[in-house]
Amino acid sequence: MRTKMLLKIQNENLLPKGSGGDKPYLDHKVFLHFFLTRERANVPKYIFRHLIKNLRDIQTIKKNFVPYGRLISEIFHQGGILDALKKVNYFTNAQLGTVTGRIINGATLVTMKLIRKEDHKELSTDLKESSVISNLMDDFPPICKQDPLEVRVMFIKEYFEMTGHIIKISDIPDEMYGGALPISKNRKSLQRKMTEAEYLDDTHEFAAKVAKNSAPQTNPTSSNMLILQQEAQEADDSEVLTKKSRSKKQVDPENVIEINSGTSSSYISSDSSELDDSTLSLIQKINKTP
Amino acid sequence: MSLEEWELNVQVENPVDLLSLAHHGCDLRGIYQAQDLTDYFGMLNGPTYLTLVRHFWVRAQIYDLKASQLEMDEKVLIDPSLEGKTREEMGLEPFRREEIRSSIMGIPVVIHLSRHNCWGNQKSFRRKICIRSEQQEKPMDTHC
Repeated sequence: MRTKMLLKIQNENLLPKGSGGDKPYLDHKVFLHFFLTRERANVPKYIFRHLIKNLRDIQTIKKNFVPYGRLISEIFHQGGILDALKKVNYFTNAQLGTVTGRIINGATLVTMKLIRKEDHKELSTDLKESSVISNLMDDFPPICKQDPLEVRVMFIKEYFEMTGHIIKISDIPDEMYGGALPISKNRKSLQRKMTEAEYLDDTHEFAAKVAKNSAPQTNPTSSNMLILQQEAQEADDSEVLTKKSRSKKQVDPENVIEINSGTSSSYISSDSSELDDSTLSLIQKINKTP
Repeated sequence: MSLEEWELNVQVENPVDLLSLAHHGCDLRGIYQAQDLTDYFGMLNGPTYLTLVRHFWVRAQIYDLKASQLEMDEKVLIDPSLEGKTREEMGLEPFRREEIRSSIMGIPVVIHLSRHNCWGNQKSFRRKICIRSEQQEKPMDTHC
């Protein structure tokens, strides 16, 4: 089992193979030998040699496979290229085509049929996808314009109480930076060649995907804000309902359920007249500040 | 036939959760610790910039012994009196190591292996992948 897993990790991380069968090459066998006997191997040298071999392949036999995507990205980051791009402040994650890899863990052992499904157990310490959404962004408010108005107002209010700084509404980004990162495609979908039009349209698709992703599952901090917001809403629910009945408007039962469950506050946010006086005055203040 | 930038398939490394694997009876931590690779696996869980990697890869060139020889031959073709002279006498930089040379948005990027002493006073040297951009040298902390 260990050897199979070692070979899988090798095929994907240390000496990536583009295509072909699972039969290991000589380099892979040498690596396995070194690893299992715990003899020290010069891994960086092998990685560099593999990089050069792949680059030669691309120039001679037109192989369209680029290994070590993450390693090269890390080199850019540490070499200061991302910092240079950050200074320009023009590129977003969508334009850079940011993705993360799939995580190899206990579930992979199940799919490789090395352990039974019943034996698999999720742990609290399981590795999650990197919380570092992008090295491009240092600090940004964990809210976006797709969040309901009340959430934004509450966040600004709390932030002001905590730190004394005011976040201007114009500073709030249109969409969450990165959001949930798209996972890199699997091997089967990689076989399909990308066309020029797709490549050029890629950024738009990414933006759309990010928008979709970030709308339901926003950043952890903003989801906390949502929870806070829900609590506040639940407390005010009865008042809102009585106000509604007084004004003799038809109360849609679905909306009421939505408010109670707190999944969406579109009902409240669309109707700003229901906002508290204090929040309204705060909005006016913020809008007035230059 | 030539390859275009959008035809490149970038392989993204998969982060490995060694703890979860160990819990399910597949403990590889010792093996990778012996090779000093734990930091490398820690690095894998992060964003990959596909556009930048493709941009880098289509412009990449290998600078090896053969390329340096070609460079010298070109100099000789321009000025035949230089034949038989050393690289320094031709006004070229001495050939030190194999490099991958490319550029990103006009910034030159060179990836090469570098000897890096990370054992203090011990004699053993290790190699690292290094990057040089804008005349700076920075070792990568994938290991050590």
